[in-house]
Amino acid sequence: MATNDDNPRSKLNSIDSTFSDEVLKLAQCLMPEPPTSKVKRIVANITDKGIDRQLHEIGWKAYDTVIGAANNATNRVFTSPAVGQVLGGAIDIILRYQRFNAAVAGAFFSALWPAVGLPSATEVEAIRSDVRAMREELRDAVAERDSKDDFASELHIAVRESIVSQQADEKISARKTNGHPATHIDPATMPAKKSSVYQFSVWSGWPGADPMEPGEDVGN
Amino acid sequence: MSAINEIASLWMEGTMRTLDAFRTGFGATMDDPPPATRSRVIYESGLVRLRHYEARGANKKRVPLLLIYSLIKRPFILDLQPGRSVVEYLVKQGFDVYLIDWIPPRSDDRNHGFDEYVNTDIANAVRAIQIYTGIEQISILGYCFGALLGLIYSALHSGNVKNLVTLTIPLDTSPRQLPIEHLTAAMTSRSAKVIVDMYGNAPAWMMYSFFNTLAPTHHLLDKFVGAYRSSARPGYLDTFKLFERWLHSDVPMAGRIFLETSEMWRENSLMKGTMKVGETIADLTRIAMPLLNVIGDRDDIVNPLSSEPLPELVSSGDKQNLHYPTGHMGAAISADSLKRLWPQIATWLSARDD
Repeated sequence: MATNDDNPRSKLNSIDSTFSDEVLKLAQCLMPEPPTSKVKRIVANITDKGIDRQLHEIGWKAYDTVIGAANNATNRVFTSPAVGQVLGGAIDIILRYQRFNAAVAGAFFSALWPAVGLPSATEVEAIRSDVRAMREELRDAVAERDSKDDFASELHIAVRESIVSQQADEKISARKTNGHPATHIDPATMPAKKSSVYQFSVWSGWPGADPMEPGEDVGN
Repeated sequence: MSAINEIASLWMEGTMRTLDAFRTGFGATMDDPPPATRSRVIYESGLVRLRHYEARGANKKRVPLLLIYSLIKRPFILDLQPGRSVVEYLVKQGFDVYLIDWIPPRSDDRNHGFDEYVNTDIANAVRAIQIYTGIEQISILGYCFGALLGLIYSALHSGNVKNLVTLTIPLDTSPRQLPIEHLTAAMTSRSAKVIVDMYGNAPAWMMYSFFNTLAPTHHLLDKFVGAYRSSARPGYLDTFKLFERWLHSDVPMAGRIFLETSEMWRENSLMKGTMKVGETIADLTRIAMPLLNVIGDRDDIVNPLSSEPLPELVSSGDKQNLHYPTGHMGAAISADSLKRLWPQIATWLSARDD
């Protein structure tokens, strides 16, 4: 004989049930099948019939259409003369505001830094220049030390000064490269160095017999 | 040290760390990824670092080939990964390849203009190759802004150049079809001057923002969705990551050349034959060497119409436009370009190697 204990509703409104139990039971009554399993069943049904692939394609087509439309809209915005004018003006105003801001902040902080014992931007810049000059001197020194080949040293100087010395020229003529006879380079055909901007120059030497590591000499 | 000084220095250290974090976050130059092809730096001077990639195979070519890449990004896109590297391809075809690996300008390089880049840096690199190989005339292959620099060098020092290949060169600035052309036109000379006054050089983050602004949907969403859609293809995600790294490899543009470039684009002066580099007019009619002008028909950075007129402006007898259905960067990294476009370029150069 079945007792009341077997009936799921037997505990309804009993003093043992909590509020959450009641909510759960109500949900079970309203949704005999949980939504996740229902979705899974539908998807499985679709998969069996091969509809998922079609849905997939339709979804991507819709995506491509939306992206295409967005790209077109962006292009239209940028190619509009009115937008160009506004943008040009806005760039100008923003930059001017930034410059003003930087100038005011600079003036304020340049007075503040010495008060708290910190260096000014000019002083930092001067130190940077000194460090850079020292680094360049060091690089030149290392390059000179590493340039064991006399010809390489001469070549380094020649390239640096943009004048090919007669001696170096003779050695070039004597040198054969790539299995082809070397062509004589007339210093007169060399372009003259026109710019006054010239910083430093490092000759890293001729390639030696041992190949370098692949990762070497790469990056900044 | 007084307590106030100690606090100030601690605060300063924190500020510098924060600024550094911002700098890194906003497109500061990152290290290059490992190269696909072995190289050796043979010369370094000014803002030029010259790399040599030695030719492989039995069919070695006589004429050295100098690659000049753009100034605003790192050139490792030309040697991205094994099997997807222009440099690797050319080396395997027997070309002795030299690459100008531009050194990013620092604040005191702000006065580096076309004169310094062309008449000093490229001229010295070419001279170094001449002396290194003992060969007087070299071939130049320039990409985008690098093609512009190579073209100007060829006009000013035509005796040193045997063959010239220009890829996606932004020459004629009169077409107004692409967003980039309108956005560039919106930049007034006053704005350009304010940028240089404020920053010295045009900052890397500004370059990055400029190009990202042109295609916001692509950069914010579509490229990632594209990566997801193609993730099943073998090796795709590795290439995608490397390409993303290159996209973030912006470098500042030296102040003077930034101003000169914006002026050149406004005036269309190189096209009109009025552009002065140093003391000399960059007269394109002085270009008499063989010219191959490669145009990407789907290029949305450099309008194909901007590149097309080049052969008409030079006096070479041997000149041609080579149209290829690719985009601006597709010419360098797409598998299709490496299979079909670059063999055409290599064949063209090989035929003029004697």
